[in-house]
Amino acid sequence: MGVFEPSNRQPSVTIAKDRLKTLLIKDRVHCCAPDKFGQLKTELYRTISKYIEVTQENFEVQVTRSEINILLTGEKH
Amino acid sequence: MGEIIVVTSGKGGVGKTTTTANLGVGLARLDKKVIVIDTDLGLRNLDVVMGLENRIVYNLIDVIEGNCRLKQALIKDRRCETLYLLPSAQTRDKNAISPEQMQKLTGELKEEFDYILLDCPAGIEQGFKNAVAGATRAIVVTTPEVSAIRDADRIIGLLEAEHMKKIDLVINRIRMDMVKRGDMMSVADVTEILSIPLIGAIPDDEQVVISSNQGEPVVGPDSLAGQAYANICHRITGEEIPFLDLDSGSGFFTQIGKLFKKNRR
Repeated sequence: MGVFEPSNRQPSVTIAKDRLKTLLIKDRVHCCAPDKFGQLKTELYRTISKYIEVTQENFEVQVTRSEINILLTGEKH
Repeated sequence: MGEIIVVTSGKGGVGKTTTTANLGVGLARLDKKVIVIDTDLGLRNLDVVMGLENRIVYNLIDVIEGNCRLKQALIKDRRCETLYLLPSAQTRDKNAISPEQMQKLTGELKEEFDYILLDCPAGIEQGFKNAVAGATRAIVVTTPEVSAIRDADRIIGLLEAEHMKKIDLVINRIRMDMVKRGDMMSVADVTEILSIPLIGAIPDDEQVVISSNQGEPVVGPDSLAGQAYANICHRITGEEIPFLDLDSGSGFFTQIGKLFKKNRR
């Protein structure tokens, strides 16, 4: 991006990081499709909400190399 | 008692062999007794990068099968008194040795050397398992590319599963000009994604190619990449060294030059 040619192009780093995020989650939970992680998250949310009061906002699923963490954040009683 | 370090990456062509060779030379220059072992059976490279390809008589397989004594197979480096190479075999495949045999060999070498560096083959198959078997410490080499980082992440997972005691990250071929314009992941980006401790970042430096053409090491004060490798060696020995500013091209004239180049596009 030079001084006289303002560009709206998205930096390729953003694309690379987004692609990696999906890839690593796929690799780590051995899911075959990227949307499988979304499904897993939804099903976990449904199951947990049967027993604990949760909202979409305070519910998060994190996948690391050796574990899956379910995080419930926000104000609690 | 020496430390056994495996240099690995998953993906091929990210600079494992160059890294192994330069860390070997760099550590030897710190007065450590070092042996570098090429564990890539069938495709030997480390000897060529080190400029020792004409001195090979025996190899790793000969030692393991007992065709020669260990001492006979070790090649002394041309420049460093305390650096030795154990070359790989070119005619055998990766199933010719087992992880147990590698463990036994590195166990023996540990008695005599301060550092045993294992140059791991690409992939996650038998060759990787062999190289990792004897090691207590791993250096994962990656480049700031999606494919290399993905493979590094898988390798780190496998190393964690093997209960590797220490895993450090080397990020190779950083181009600060590309990082600045948002077209390359930065050292911080890659370290955050892989979430293991960073032990060094090597700039993309043409001197690395020139040195490998000549079979000479690049490690040393003469180039930015060489300095980065030297710093990693200090960190391996436990010293705390600040990270290099890779942005050497940020001087006034370089910037002016870049401005003109950009506008010409």
